[in-house]
Amino acid sequence: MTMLQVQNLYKEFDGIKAVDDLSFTIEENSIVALVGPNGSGKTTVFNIISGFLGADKGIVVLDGKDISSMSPFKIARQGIGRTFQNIRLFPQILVLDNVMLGLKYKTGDRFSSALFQSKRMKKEEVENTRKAEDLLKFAGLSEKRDALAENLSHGQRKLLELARILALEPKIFLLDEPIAGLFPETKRTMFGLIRKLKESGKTILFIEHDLHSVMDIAEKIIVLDHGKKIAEGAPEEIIKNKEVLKAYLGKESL
Amino acid sequence: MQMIQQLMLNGIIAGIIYGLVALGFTIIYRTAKFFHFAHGVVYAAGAYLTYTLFIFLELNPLISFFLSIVFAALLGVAIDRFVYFPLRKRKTSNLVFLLASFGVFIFLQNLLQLIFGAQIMTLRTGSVKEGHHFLGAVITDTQILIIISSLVLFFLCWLFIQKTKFGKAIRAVSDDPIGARVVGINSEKVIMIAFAIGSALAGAAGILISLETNIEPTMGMNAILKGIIASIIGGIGSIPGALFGGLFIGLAENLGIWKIQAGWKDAIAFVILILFLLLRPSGIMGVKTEKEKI
Amino acid sequence: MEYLIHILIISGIYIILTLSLNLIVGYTGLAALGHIAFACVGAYTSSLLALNFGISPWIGLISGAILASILGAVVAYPSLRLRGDYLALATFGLGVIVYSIAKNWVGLTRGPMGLPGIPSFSIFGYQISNVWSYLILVLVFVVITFIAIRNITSSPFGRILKGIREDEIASQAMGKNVNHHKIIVFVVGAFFAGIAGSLYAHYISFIDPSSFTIMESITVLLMVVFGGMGSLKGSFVGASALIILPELLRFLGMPNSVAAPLRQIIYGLLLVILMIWRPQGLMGKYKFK
Repeated sequence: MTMLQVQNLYKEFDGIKAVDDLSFTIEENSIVALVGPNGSGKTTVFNIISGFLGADKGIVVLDGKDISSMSPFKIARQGIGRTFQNIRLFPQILVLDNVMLGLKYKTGDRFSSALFQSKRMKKEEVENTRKAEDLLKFAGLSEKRDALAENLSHGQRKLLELARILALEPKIFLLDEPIAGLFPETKRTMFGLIRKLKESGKTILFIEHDLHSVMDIAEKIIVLDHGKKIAEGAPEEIIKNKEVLKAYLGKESL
Repeated sequence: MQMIQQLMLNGIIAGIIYGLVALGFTIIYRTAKFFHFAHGVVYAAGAYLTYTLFIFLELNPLISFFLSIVFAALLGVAIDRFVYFPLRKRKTSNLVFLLASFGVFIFLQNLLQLIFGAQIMTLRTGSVKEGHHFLGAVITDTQILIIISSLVLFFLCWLFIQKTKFGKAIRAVSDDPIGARVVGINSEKVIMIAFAIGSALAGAAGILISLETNIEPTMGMNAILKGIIASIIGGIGSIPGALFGGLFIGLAENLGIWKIQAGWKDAIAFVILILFLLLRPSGIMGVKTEKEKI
Repeated sequence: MEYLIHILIISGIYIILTLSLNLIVGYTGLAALGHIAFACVGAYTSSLLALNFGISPWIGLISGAILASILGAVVAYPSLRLRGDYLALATFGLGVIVYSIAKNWVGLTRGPMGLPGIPSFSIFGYQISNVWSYLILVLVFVVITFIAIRNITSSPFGRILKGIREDEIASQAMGKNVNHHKIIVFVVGAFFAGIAGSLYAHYISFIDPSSFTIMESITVLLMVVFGGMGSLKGSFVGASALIILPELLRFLGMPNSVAAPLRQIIYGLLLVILMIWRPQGLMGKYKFK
């Protein structure tokens, strides 16, 4: 079943085609890597899918619903959970609260609940605190529960970002460079968590500029260059693809 | 019928002074990248020092003007060194710079009031001369002097920015701070030059307007508010935009009071500002302001 | 002694202003520079209703607060579109516009002549006319304001506000309706500021535009920053300190022509020092970044 579908996306900035007639589908419960040299438009695609940027042409369909013109917060509620290339945590807030901010409340986070300190709010808060602690455990960050997010190491921040969007219970995870800047050990941890997510039925699309590192984990690879899709397929096919090699010439050897 | 020409003339004079303030402000913004609100009190300080030297100490007028402008430049650089430089090292947001600038403004404006008192003073000496009739309005020698001096300053500034090495450096730091550093331009030095020039212009503007109107401690507030509005309307970072924005506000204010009471001047200016901020923040001629990168 | 009570009353009114602004600036991170405009609306509404129509100050108080919160919704609009320093300018401008209206719409507000003879509150026929009873009245409202703002900020809703302060874009990516929250904080903040304005008007019994200048807005902002953004206790400390300090100056026997600018000089210096060395103020946990 198709979870995410992107059709004929087109976006231009100051005359440069950032995304050029891009179409692809992501099947449910798959791990797909969006790969390409720096500047090939990968983050732009994410920004369009998650609603932070409007496409000039084309549509985005999530689980059968057209989300092309929705605002970012509505798209998040529809089921897109994305991380950011430059990591966007809430720095001067506790690690636990960072995760709590991803969790849903039925009425507990309303203004009226707050002003009158309703019993419902207090009950939901207790439940959500427990859920947040479980998520921190999954990400291996339990002991950092009461630290300020800005005091975490780079690797811990990446893990916290993942835990936070897990809280959203999204239909699809959009991870922007989840292993960038990580030590090999933390890279393995991150990929391990992604595999666990797949095992529990989740769908993951992630961006990575290094083709080599996604070979073992991606089931399908989509390659972008200058905003265009130049290849799509299983990892074994992609390595042999001449166009892909040309795009990467002078960069990583495969 | 004559009313409208006179109002237009008043508008042009006010506008050209606002334009000078906007010019200095915008040059500083281009390099330092924040709203230097205290620019307004440098304007006032220039006027007050000239008064002290020229009226009080009875020095030669040209020497008084010159010393005051140099003092204004030094004051601007001092503010940058003592207040903004420590903030730049910490990589703070534009808002913090603006609030610190408010603090400097309040501090210095009230210092001026403490020293000179709230009394109104003037640079005008001698009797009031009859003005010349020109296109239905009356224009005095002083007003002609103000207009010509301001236009000369605008032109000199434009030459400096466009034709000199320093001017090129300012443009480089303004358009691409990282690239500028890569080619070896010392951005701190460039910022210092920008503050010196911008503040000198503010001082000059304060002196020029004081030839025509009274000097009072709160004169800086009105000037900087109109200067900021003029910069934003004309396009923050644009030199011709500063002149255009200044004239726009000056004329709007003065023609506006033809139909509306004079007390509404400030409100009119701010309504225009808010409309521009919401609808066209890059102004008429300005560079598109950077949007946050996602 | 009566003078001391008077200082406490004024402090109490400023505490309400500071708490309400802290909600907007300190917890949600919105650069709101024209806060006193809300107090102005509250004060004038309450006074005009009492003077022109004989309406009870209690009803005037609520009406003023409601009108102020409507203005708050209007002011919220620029905050949806503008970033920090630009928003500061826009809210500054709105503050000046409200002040101009108070000063120039003479038909409505009597302009610079002000509104004298504003009646005080009365409960069950008993007029609240001496300082002691007014102090109790103000304290009651201080407590109400504190409880309301504390409830709002220490709840899941409050957590969302802090998230918006830290990173609006991440907040949106977490499914939060940022615009909705911004409007609410402005409306609530304006509401309480409107109450403060009414309390002031019915206490002093005379108001004119000079009590609601842009400098007053900056003073309240300074109280928020000095006390500590995101700290309610800090708002108590910041507001009281900046009211009591200038009074000490007067005790040193300075003439007003010296004391007034000196007070501002200290404020200006304090603002610079805070920004450079201690942006979190005395008791704040959040640093202006």
